[in-house]
Amino acid sequence: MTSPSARLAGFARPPRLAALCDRLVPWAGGLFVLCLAAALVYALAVAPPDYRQGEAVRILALSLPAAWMAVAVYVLAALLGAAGLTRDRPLVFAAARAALAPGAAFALIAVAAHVLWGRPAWNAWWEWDGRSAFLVLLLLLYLGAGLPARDGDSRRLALLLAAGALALPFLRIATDWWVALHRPEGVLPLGDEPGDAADPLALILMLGAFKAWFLTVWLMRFSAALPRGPEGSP
Amino acid sequence: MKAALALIRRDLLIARRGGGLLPLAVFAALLLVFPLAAGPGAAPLGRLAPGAIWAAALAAHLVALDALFAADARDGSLAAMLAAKAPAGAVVLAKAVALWLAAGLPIALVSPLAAVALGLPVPVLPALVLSLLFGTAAIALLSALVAALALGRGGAALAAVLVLPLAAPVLAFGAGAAELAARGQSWAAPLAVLAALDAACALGVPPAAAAALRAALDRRS
Repeated sequence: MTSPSARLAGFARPPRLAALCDRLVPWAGGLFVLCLAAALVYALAVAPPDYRQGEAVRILALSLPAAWMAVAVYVLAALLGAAGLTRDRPLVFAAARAALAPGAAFALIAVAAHVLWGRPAWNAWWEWDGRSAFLVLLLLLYLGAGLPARDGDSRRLALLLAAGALALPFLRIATDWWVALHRPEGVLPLGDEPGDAADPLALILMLGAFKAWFLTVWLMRFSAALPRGPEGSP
Repeated sequence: MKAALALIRRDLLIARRGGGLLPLAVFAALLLVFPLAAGPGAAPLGRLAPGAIWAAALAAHLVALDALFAADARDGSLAAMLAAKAPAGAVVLAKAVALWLAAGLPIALVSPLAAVALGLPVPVLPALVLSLLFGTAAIALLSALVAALALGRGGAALAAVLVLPLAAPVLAFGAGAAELAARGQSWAAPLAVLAALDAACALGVPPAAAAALRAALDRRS
């Protein structure tokens, strides 16, 4: 009879951890499909069009949750990296590295949706408002982290992620301040935060779908990075 | 402390003997090219001058960034410095100070010349010079961090990708101070933010860069 904590510690053995991840993947994937279906139906068909943005407001249901997820995943990877640094745990580093690619995908989705939304809303594919500038810098941060993530130098990757995560709030403040300083009146016809027009339920449903997708991909990538035991061993 | 001063003196000597004024040259060249590319006509140049000067100052640091630790890592003196009694953070700090003395300080001192040539009004100059003095200090520290993170892998390209997002707040507040001065408004707030960023970088960068250097040397050996 093993104690609960000993049973839990057993999952820290890479082969068992990989098996656990593989078992969880279909559930997370199913949750993603359900959430995505609900989010798409609601955001595209049920939610009312905005009185100023019209149907274009539906794109926000894609771009805002993607931007939130991109920030959240970067911070998650940085926290995992910091945890790995203090104890030098290769498993934790592997979890941080597995989160980077889906996080970068979120940043890309956010930028792409932002471009598509800018055309109807601002009559320009790109406008240097605070959110656009922040998204570009976030994409650069992911790009910079992706290069060292490939050569397996986990400690320097963790340090880089920590520096980037600490810089994130400064970037947001600086971009907002910079836009407020340089904006001539009336460049943004929709007001300061056009994202306020998005339907909250559509945002929440899409955020749930994104979270489930991230969990699926993260678990798959993490499990693929783990060493496998010989056939039949627990 | 003595070791750090000796290291600064050594780095400045190396810089003086071998292309250490490259950042300043790049800064001057970019600002010479800018009016040539944009065309004459004082009004639009003066409007863009603070941004152009700040962008050129950041680009000038990118040139020096790759060489910050690479030469010392190649001939083994970096490993000797980290093995010595002086704390590794002091080594990083000394490197950043030497970079600032060789790049940031001369750029800030030369900037009034460039600003006047670009048609920036004279009352704006104090804001520009002070914001460059404070801002380049933070950029030098961030350059040291990024150089340590990128040491031995791809070098310059990776460093450029890494330093741009990290230095973006410095760029925004630095150019913002000059912009506010050009409008005749108070520019104390962005300068205070730059000083705060300096302090934060001076505290945070040395330990992080030292850890990154150790990780880089561990992999090499």
